Amino acid sequence: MTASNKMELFYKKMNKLNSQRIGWLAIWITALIGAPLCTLNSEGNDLGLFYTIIATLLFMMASINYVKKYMELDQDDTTEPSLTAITGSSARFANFMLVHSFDTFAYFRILMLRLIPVQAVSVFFIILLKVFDLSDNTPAMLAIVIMVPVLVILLSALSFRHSLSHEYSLLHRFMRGTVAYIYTIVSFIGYEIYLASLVLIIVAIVYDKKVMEGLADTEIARISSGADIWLIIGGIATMVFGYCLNNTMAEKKKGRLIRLAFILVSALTAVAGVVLYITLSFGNNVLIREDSFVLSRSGVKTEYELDDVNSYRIYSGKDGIIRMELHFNDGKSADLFTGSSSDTDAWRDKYFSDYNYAAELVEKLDAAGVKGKLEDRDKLYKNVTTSLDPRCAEGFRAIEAVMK
Amino acid sequence: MIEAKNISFKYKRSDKFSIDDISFSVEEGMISCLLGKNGCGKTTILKLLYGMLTPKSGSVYYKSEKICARTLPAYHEEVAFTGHCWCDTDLTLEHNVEFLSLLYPDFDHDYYDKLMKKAGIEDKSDKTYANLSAGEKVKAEIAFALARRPKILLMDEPLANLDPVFKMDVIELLQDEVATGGLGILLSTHLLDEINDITDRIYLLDKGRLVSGGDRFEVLGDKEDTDLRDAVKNIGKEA
Repeated sequence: MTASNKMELFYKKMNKLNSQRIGWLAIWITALIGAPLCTLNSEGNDLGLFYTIIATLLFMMASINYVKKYMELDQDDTTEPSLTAITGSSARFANFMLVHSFDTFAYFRILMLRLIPVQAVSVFFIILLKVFDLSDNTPAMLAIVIMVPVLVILLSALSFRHSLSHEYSLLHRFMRGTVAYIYTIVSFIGYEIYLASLVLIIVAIVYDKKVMEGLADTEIARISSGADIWLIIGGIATMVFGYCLNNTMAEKKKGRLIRLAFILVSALTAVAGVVLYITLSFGNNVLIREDSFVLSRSGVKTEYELDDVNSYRIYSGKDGIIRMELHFNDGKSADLFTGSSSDTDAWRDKYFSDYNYAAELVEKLDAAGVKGKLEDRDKLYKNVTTSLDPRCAEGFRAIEAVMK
Repeated sequence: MIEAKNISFKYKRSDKFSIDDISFSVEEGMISCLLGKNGCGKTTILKLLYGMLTPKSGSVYYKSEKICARTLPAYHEEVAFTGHCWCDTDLTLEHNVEFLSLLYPDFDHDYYDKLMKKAGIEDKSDKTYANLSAGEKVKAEIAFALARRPKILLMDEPLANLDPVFKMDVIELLQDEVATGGLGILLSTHLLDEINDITDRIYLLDKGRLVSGGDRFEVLGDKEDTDLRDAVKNIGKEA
């Protein structure tokens, strides 16, 4: 029996022993389904890049998790805390393999070959996104999705090989120690990204459809839900909880279906908090039409016309993106561009970005005699001219022209 | 035959050589024994011979081929080592053997079962390795190593933690493997009484240097009443 045949058999055995590790498949399917849906939804707005990054990371994490399946062993007895188990398992695997006839390079060569179909589908899919004009960052996406998992395999092979010596050099200790913790953090972030993408898919598909009910696509309208910081905090808290659930409970379950159920339960637990928040935000949002606003606070709706606006201010968010706050005659106020927003097709057709809508609104308010303040002018100018589409800059110049 | 030619080794954080210019061989069909005080370099030599450590100078050869990263997987197919963590401690014995045996085309499952039965741990297969007692771990390791059907077996303190009955069983087993299967064994031990009668070759180590080595009678002399205990007592005194 040749070395590669032997390692092929070993690979198949690892596949069987770790057959319950289906996390990579869940991430991969999420990427395959979620990426185009989210990208379609974000077409033409500044969330496009964000969704692209998420999709890229998901494809990348799917490949890395696929490889990881063959570098660690699912334990029959998981008694260690989850973080130790993650950092220690691949190192421990390398540690005892060193006393056996384990051909590291033959094995990792097989891993590399087996990764090709997974990578090929991901690459094909990314190219499809480009063909259907859903992605502007194809070269970067391809580079990351192809290179990073290959790099992980090469580094792992070197680390494995190096483990044969018990003389731990500084480099080795770095590889086995620091890298293990970095890997844990990356795994954690990967899991969070996976959950975040589930949330985004829910936002993109379910929430958008639900929140836009009653609005015709031909109507120029947007619904904006604020307080995004709470969305983030709530999301992180529930995701961490879900992650802990996943590690402490799912890992101990043997049956594939039971394990899958635990993964889903932990994922859904993580997502549930965010979904709950989104559901609550139904009662707290602003429906923006061309010349009117419907402010919902705890389910109580108040409709305002342009005449009801007392003053307004335009300022920069921490990200350098435009924000606009309207102050109404009855003392209430509304943030127009904070949080998540859902637009009708007609809105997207008419306004390229928030800058263009703000420019039109500022003109109308000026004509109605409503005065406003433009804050953070330099920061806004710098961001709009260096980071955004020229059409956004046009909108900003129009705002400046009115407010100078 | 494993042949060590002028091997020296120094640990990175040590200022002196742990193994200093040692040459010797381990041959099939005989039992060789490494003797010396604690810290004299017995385990280091075994690790050097097995390729777990790389000599700073000199080389290890197997069947005249130099042991290096390229030749190590094939070398490990024919040479076994006991005394180092050999399996996943959180996996059951059954699962460990199930996938580790794939690395050895000659692995004899029947013989493994027979050895496990002889060791009285045949009912421990569904236990995780971590949950076995110290003695059971050694028994399982020896059973796995012998079932691999190696040509040469390197053993680091193989008799430690074994109950007296199984200790005798292991010694008999090893003798039988050497006599009938032609197995070559190099073992390090402090249990001199148990191996006194079975050793064909002796290597005496002191502070990383080979002070004496070769055929049992060459090292101990031809006196009937001289045993390993006397040899070990004299280590360092002659120098």
